[in-house]
Amino acid sequence: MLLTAFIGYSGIVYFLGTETAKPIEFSQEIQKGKRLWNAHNCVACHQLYGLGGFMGPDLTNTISAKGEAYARAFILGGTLRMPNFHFSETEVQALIAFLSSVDSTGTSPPTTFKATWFGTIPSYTKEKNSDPSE
Amino acid sequence: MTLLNRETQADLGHEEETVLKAKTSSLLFVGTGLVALLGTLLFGLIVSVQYSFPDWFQVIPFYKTRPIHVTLALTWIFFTAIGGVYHYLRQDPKVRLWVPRLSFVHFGILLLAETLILFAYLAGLFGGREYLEYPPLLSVPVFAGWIIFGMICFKSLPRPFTKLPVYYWMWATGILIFIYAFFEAHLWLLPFFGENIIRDITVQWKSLGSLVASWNMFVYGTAICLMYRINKDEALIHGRRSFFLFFLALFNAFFNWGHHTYIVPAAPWVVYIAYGVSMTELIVLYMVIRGWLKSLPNVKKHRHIFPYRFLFASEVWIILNLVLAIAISIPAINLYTHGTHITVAHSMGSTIGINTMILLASAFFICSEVRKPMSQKALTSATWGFYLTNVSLVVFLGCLVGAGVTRSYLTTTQEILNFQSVQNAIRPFMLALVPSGAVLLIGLFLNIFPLTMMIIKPGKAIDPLKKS
Repeated sequence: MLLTAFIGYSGIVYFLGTETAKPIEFSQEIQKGKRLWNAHNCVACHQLYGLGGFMGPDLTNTISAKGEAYARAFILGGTLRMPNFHFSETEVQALIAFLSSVDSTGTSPPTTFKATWFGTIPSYTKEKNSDPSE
Repeated sequence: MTLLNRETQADLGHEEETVLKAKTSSLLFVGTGLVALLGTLLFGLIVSVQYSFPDWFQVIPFYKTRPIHVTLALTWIFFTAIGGVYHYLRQDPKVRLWVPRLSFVHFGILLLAETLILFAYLAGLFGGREYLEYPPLLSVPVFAGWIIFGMICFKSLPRPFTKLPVYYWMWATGILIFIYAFFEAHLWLLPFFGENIIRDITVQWKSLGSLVASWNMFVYGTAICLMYRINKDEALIHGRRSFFLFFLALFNAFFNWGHHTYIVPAAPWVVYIAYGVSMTELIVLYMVIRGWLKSLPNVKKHRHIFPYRFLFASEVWIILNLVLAIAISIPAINLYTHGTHITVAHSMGSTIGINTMILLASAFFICSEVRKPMSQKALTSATWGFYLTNVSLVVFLGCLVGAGVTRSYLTTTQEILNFQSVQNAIRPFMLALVPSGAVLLIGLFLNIFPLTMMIIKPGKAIDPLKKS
């Protein structure tokens, strides 16, 4: 019974509840950016939605918060904490496209929430995802 | 095979040879695990220094040292737990190990996979996800090794399964959970998962949660098996309470992953279900504390025995970690702790405080059964190691919690979002992490060294139970 519930719940999580409200076209450029993200193990230092390493900042909303030029400067030059990976211009653009696509899916950390008596915060997610115009 | 005394081996009949082979493969797994533990401690120290002094040791930069540290930690946990499974299976008179040579194939494949993964990291060859950062092709030998392990265990276990002690159930389900979760961790390679960042992250952490649960099944199964081997208390392995805890652990293995992704904008019901499931851990907490209080006199009585000492320490760490785990599973608290060093404190507390204590208890037990007893000098050093490890771990975790609380306070209450400002504020905690990590390394080394020496030096088997 437990196994059936697990298989059923896994299927539900795979197909429902994890879709983005605003569909994002996963272009060739975004795919390339994601491959670069994985190939340089960016997650060792950076977080997306608070998940990843702590050596560098969370990059979920870095494009909307700081702007493309800011991100480009760091990716191209590196810092004391971040190596210079000598990315080409097309690679930098691909990474920015990937980070922009992540940025469009939500906010991390959430900025609007409401605590209830049982400790949950029902409306603190999806503020961007459900209605991007707000 | 190099660990065997050849003259002894030549005198053995087929049946005894089979038994000896199984014994040796278990020692190979445990010995490799101990080497990996030393490796993960060294790389952990390097990582903590690099965090505070980023321009130090650029030969192997942080983005390489961190996955090496994590991979060696996982090698320690899985290899030592698997070595224990082979050893305890061998000791069970009702079990006849299926094709014992396969356990060497199993060892060889996993060792090859781990070596290739470590070389890939050193060479800067990545391509995977957090904790499985290597090129996905290297997952093939890992997967093959686990299929072989599953075949050996399921073919070896006596029928009917319903009569088996709870620790066999835990190990068997641990294998199945690992195989499924490891497969699930690679779903991102399919465009349906990989091209949707929310689905991708959610499924990734669902699978990672189950992978952690799978090794917990091995480690906790080992603890129960070990307690039974020492106490011979049948209720411990066949009782209702044990099976209730097993099914509760299985329930958590299947469903308790969502608290990792509270802030990922998936549907709210994913959060509600995760929250509800996480709170069932309160039952585990209650039962562990009750059991611990009842076992206290026994522990005191046997405090001179190393497995008892480490099991006792693991129970204290279980209580502390469960309190922290339950607290950070409450969404209102998780909002402040998520993505801070408090999460690291929780995972380090679990891997060192609980898993390592239980696995060291198992390693001491196994070595005491198949090797000459430790010298008085080694016993004294291991005793010092035990206390140094536990005291330094308290300081180590205190530093991480301090850094996490400071970071949380600054980013949420004070709304200081500048990364460098937050880093400067937590720097004292991160600096204190280095010496406490160094003492932790020394403390564990004082246990690793005598254990490794026992494994390397062949000697006749000493059964402490018969001796007593």
